Parts: sequence; structure tokens; C-alpha cells
Amino acid sequence: MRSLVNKTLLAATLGMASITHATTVDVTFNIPQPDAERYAKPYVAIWAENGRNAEHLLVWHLQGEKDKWLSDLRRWWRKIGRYDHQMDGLTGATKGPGQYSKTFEINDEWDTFTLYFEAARENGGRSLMKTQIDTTDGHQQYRIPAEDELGDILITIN
Amino acid sequence: MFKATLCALGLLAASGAMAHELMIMPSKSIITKAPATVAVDISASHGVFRFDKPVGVDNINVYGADGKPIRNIGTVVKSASRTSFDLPMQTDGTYKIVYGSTEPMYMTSYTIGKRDTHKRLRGTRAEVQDQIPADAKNIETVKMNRYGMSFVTAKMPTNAVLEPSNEGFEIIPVTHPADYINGEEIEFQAMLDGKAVEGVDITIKAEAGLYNGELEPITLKTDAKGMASVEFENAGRYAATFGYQSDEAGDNADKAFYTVFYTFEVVYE
Repeated sequence: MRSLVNKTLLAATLGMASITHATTVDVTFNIPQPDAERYAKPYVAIWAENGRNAEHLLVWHLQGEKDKWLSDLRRWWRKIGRYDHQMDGLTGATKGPGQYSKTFEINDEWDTFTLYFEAARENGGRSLMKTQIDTTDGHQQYRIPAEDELGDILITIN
Repeated sequence: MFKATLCALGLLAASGAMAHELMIMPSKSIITKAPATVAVDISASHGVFRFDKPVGVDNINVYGADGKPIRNIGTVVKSASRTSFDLPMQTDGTYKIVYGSTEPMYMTSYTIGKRDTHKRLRGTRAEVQDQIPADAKNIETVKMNRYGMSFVTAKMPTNAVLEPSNEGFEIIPVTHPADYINGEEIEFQAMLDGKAVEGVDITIKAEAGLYNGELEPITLKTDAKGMASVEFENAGRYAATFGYQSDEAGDNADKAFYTVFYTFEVVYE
């Protein structure tokens, strides 16, 4: 509701007659089941970047005091993790192999941004995947092909 | 210039372990959060990232995130090939580890006899005057100052330890050491007593060279603003040596040689 008000205000101040921008992003992705002798659930982070600004969306990591490995999500760590961002409600425990769907609200002042996905697994690989999203060009679906630590990612802009 | 360089090499060789490259090797340069303990090894070696000779335990200085020295770094062990300690990181931020004396070392050299044999003495000319024969020629005193440094960051990078002291020869990491990424520009600035220094010789060796056979160092020089920038294709550990020779060496010497050894990690994008 708040974002709708924001959008309306923005449209009004800019005198825009066009429809409001899409800011809701549905993301479907897959955590693969690798053939690993000592499998550990991967750390996963999702965030959006616009220039030097970053908006945190999700991080799955080991909970509790013992967590020493967040900095292994290299890019996420540099852009978000190492700064004290407010992340309540945007973190969760690590998840095993399977299909996951998430819906995010992205800063609606951003017409274009890059959506990042990073996954790192102990004794395993690390994948950094991204796609640029333009909310003004009518393009509604994006697909990022699978890498080692994350399967195909399907992104739908609403 | 060539002669001077040869002479400098001779001087360095004369001082044993001083001829080796100094490496401060923290086990990690990026830590998720404090409190944490990071193993640090310091060794003087001809090969990059190989332990060879230990260093004295007295000249290790660690500066915490607030830029102030940390007095208690725990037990420092000097073993056969390296000197080690466990860096206690109590607070988040960027720490600086320095090895080296702030006091310069003086070497006085001369040539003597029909064959112009090179002789060297440790000390300023005034200090070794008694030991120099009357028929000595080409008497020259060199002031040498060298130190090694490395940085470790727990959680958020801070800048206090990067600030120049504006005293002596300093290498300032313009790009924060926690932001060294492969494929991105990394900048350094060389300063002497707070002024930018042009023409500092920089050689950078990659640890990966030990395994891929590419041991040829990257060489570059600082520009008029004291700046130099480099981009690494691959993540990994690197050892940089910054060397500078100056004819302004104060009252006690004819020349000054400054060397900074800087080991750092480049993380993958």
C-alpha cells in the first residue's frame, strides 16, 4: 500500500500520465543437489543494485554466533553484508536442494537496476549471477541460465 | 644511476636477511566479524610466499580500527623460518600490521687499494670514521629505511589505519585493501614526508606464479602525483615492493633508500 502511494506521488510530482512502474519482482530459483561427499547447504543472497546503491532482499545463512562465513558471499559482502544494514525479516536459515519462490518489493524510484544472486557452498562452488532489469520497457520475464550452485532463475516483473 | 643501484644491491646483500623480501602473511585479510583471531606469519625470503628466514620479534606493530597501536598482540614466536603470532581482533574494522624499525639504518661504504675493493661498515660516516683508512676513496653513506605492511579487515572497512602520518616514506592504499577485486583498478600512492613521490619503482609478484610458472613480476612507477594503479586478472595473494632512492638524505647520509613491502589479497568478483 505504501509503495502504491509513493508511486502515485512520484507520478503526480513528475506530471506523468503514464501507468505506474512495476516494482514487484517474483523470483523462482532452484538449489541443485550436487553430488558432493560432504554436502553443506549453500549460503544464498539476493539483492538489487543501482549504481553505487544496493538494496538487500534476501540472505540465507547459518544462524547464530558460529556464523563466520558470511564474507564468502563475496560480492554481497562488499555491497551489503559488511555494512550494518537493517536486515530484519530478510534473513533466514540455509535451505537444502529444491525449488523456491520469493516475491520482493524493489525501491520504486529505480527504473532500471541489476538483480544479483550469489550462492556459496562450504567445500563447494560459488556462483554469482545477475541480470539487468528495465521496468519501463515492458519486458516482464527474465531468465538467467543455471550455474553450478543455483539452477535456472526465472524473474517476473509485475 | 646504474652504479648507485649496484652499490645499493651490494649494501643490501651485505646485511644478510636484509637482502630478502619481507612478507607479512595474515591467514585471511577479510574476516566476517570480530572478535576473531588471525594467524600472522612474517618471513624474509627470496621466493614469494615461501617461508625462509624469521624476523626479530621486537619490531612488529599492529594498529587497530581506531588507528591506535595495539600493545598486546599475545605471544610472538620466532622459529627457524618465520616469526608468528595470532592477531587478536576485538573490534570490527581495518587493522594494519607493520614490521620494521622506524629508525633508519646507516651504511657507509668506500673503495680501497689498487683494485678498488668495496668495503662496507654499518653506521653513519661520523660513527665509523675511525675505521675508515686514510687512503679510502668514494666514501659514501646511505640511509636505509624499510618496512613491511599488510591489512586485515573484520566486517566493515575503516580508514583510520590508511591515513598518512606524513613522516618518512609511506605507501597509502588509495583503494581500500578490503576492496581489491580481480578485474578492478587498484591504486596506491607513494609519499615522502607527506609529499607525493614520482618515480617510485613498484614490482608485484603473484603467489600463483609459484604454480603457473609466471614468475615475471609486474613493474610500474608512480606518476607526478605519486599514484600508480594496477589491475589483476586473477584473484589471489600478491607481494608488492615499493623502492625509492633519494639524494636528499639529511645530514648523516649522502643517499637514502626507501623500501616498503606490501602483501595483500585480491578477492574474486
